[in-house]
Amino acid sequence: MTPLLFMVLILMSFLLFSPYFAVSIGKKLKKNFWTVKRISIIITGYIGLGLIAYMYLALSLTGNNEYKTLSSEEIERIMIDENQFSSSLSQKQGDQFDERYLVDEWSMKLSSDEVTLLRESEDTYGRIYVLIDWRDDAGSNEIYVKTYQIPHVNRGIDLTKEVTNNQFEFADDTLIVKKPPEKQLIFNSINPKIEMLEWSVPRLHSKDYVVENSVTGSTYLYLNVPNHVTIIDEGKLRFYP
Amino acid sequence: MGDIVCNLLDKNYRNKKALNKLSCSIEGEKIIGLIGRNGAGKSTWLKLLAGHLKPTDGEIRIFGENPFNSLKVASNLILIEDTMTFPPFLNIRELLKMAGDFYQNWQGELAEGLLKYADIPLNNYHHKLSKGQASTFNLIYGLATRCAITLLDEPMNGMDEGIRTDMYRAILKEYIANPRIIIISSHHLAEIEHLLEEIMLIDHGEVVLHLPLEAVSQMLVRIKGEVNEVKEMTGYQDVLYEKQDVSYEVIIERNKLDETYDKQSKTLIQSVSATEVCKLLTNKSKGGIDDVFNS
Amino acid sequence: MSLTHKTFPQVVLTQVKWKVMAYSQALITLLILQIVMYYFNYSGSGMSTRGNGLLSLQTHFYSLDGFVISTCLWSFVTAYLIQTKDYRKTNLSIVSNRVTGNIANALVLVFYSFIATIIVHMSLYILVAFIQLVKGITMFPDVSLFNFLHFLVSFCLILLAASSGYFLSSLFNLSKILGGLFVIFFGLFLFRVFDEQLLTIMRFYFEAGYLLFIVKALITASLFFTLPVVFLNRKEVVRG
Repeated sequence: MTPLLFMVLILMSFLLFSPYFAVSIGKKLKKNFWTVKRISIIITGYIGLGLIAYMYLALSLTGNNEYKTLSSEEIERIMIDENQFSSSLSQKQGDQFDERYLVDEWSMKLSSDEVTLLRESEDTYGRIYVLIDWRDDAGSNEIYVKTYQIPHVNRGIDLTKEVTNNQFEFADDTLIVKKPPEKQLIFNSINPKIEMLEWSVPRLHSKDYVVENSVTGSTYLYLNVPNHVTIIDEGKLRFYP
Repeated sequence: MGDIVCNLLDKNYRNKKALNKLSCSIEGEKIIGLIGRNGAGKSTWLKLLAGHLKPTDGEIRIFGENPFNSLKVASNLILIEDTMTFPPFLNIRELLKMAGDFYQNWQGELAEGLLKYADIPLNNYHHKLSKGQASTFNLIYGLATRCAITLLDEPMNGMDEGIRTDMYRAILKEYIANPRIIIISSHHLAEIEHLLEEIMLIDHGEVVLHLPLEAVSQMLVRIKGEVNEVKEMTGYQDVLYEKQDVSYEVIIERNKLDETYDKQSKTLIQSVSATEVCKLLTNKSKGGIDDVFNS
Repeated sequence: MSLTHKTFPQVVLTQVKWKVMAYSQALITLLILQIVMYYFNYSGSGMSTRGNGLLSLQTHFYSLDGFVISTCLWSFVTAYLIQTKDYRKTNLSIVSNRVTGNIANALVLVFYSFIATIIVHMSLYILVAFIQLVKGITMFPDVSLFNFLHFLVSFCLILLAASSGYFLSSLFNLSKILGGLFVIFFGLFLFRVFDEQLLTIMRFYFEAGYLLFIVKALITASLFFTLPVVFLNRKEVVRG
């Protein structure tokens, strides 16, 4: 019990009681100001104002197109989809991949029979997976690439577009997973919650906890490679189902 | 079985005895004057009846129930006193509406009419009324509830002369319109005497007297005359009051008077008013305050 | 002379109706308190940072914390005042006994706590909308603009504060010595070994998650509300 805490408590209690003083002084100054009718009008008015503020916030969110916001149901669906995605991945059912997550389709033309997979930084580990599908096509040196991106959601804000930029570079028969400079984003958020408890209450069993926090979307590179091409996986990017 | 029955009621405050084995029974509609000196236990008794207090010993039955915590008693009995308070944020009009919600026999129009007559604006607040106005409001509130038992503890405190008379009239009219038990406590009997059917005199926490008004005013006689003659007439018994200056004067109970004594003497026999009876019965000494100065 | 009869629930409901009106100035106090809290929350209730190598996210959030804590203090004081002698005396001017009076008070406090919870949420919306308008920044909701679970949790916290204020006031009503001893004991309990004891209490209520907290809080509150009914039932109330 420090004196400081004590001071804070005294200040708090003063603050707490000051409205009572204000009201009682007001009562003396203005004769019968706080009638039951006026009080109920003021309370209703305040709640009405709050509802207007709520609607304004709700509308300004849908009007805001810089970032998409997702509801918890949408986030949950993404999580289910992601599970399905990785299970179909492990069964190599390339044709069953959810095309909604297809963000890019491109090709690499090799000059030799070898392709090297490299990563610029170890940081990207666990976020990018490369999946190989072989095809019989001796006459071609071309690799068809499909980039699948699971959305990246942080507390309801869809940040997918922030993580997909300039991730890959292909040059001299080498596919490099790049490390773009860390992006700084500042958000202002309204949390209709008691944040203090959010940190201390264990809610590991609650699905809300996962849903409301984040989905860190992984990127899957689906490579369609001719049989004769050798893949040198230096960056340990390959995903072996 | 009476409507109000008290049996050997005791009430102690710390070590002070406020009520001492008080017993009484009241039945049927009537206006009763509760008379007693300051501190005699009038207010305490009324508070016990209203269930605000718990008796230390003894038993109270109102409509057959113990009034303490009884809803039946609470909805059929009201105690009006000058310390009465109401929620401070409700104005008079709202208070009247509130009473209508609680009391089934509530007379809203009557209350409004009386308040208008007494010049108490309906948009005022109870705690902002002057002492007399507050008393008037309380009394009107008590009358308008039309509770089967209405207890008025010093209802006229602080009222001016004009409104006092009006309010006594209001009590009487209301009583005639809707008979019930009304107990008015006062130390000023002369003022309420014309309303009363019964008098209940309390002293030192005990009921000294509980009789119809006529019986009380017939109870004592005053004898004035020559000393020996008077003493003979009274048979040298204990008297309630005696005074000697030019003539000798005593007051004695009527039934102790020797009626056979010669009527032609110059001795004067007068009846004593109820007010005086009450005063005498609660006096400590025979001469009253004069004794203090004479000794 | 005919006797009128009102049933127990009728009397309680009528009392609740009028007490809600009679004590409503407490809600004005709450509004003033909310406006004071705007000042403290103007620059945000807190900040969180999170990074994963690609993105560094800094979130300034506006949460219910300050509003709920101040409202808890308010409900504690309001409940304390409602159970003081002056307020209890006004019961004598209406049809009431000690049980109906206590139950009506408790119900009024439950109702006020509910209104206060709504007001707390509205305060957050008004503040955030105001900031968005004035500072011209965009506010993102933390998944949703309304979280029912946290609405219930705030309600329970406010109710818990109200019930403990009510209980303490009743204790003082019963006996000043008993109330004083309780305060001293509880004060020592909290302040001498502040961290430990507070944590114990926190752990008791929150260790099993929000839903169980709600259950525990409701049980505690109803205990705090019913105990005074029991021990004040024999207590005399006099106007003078």
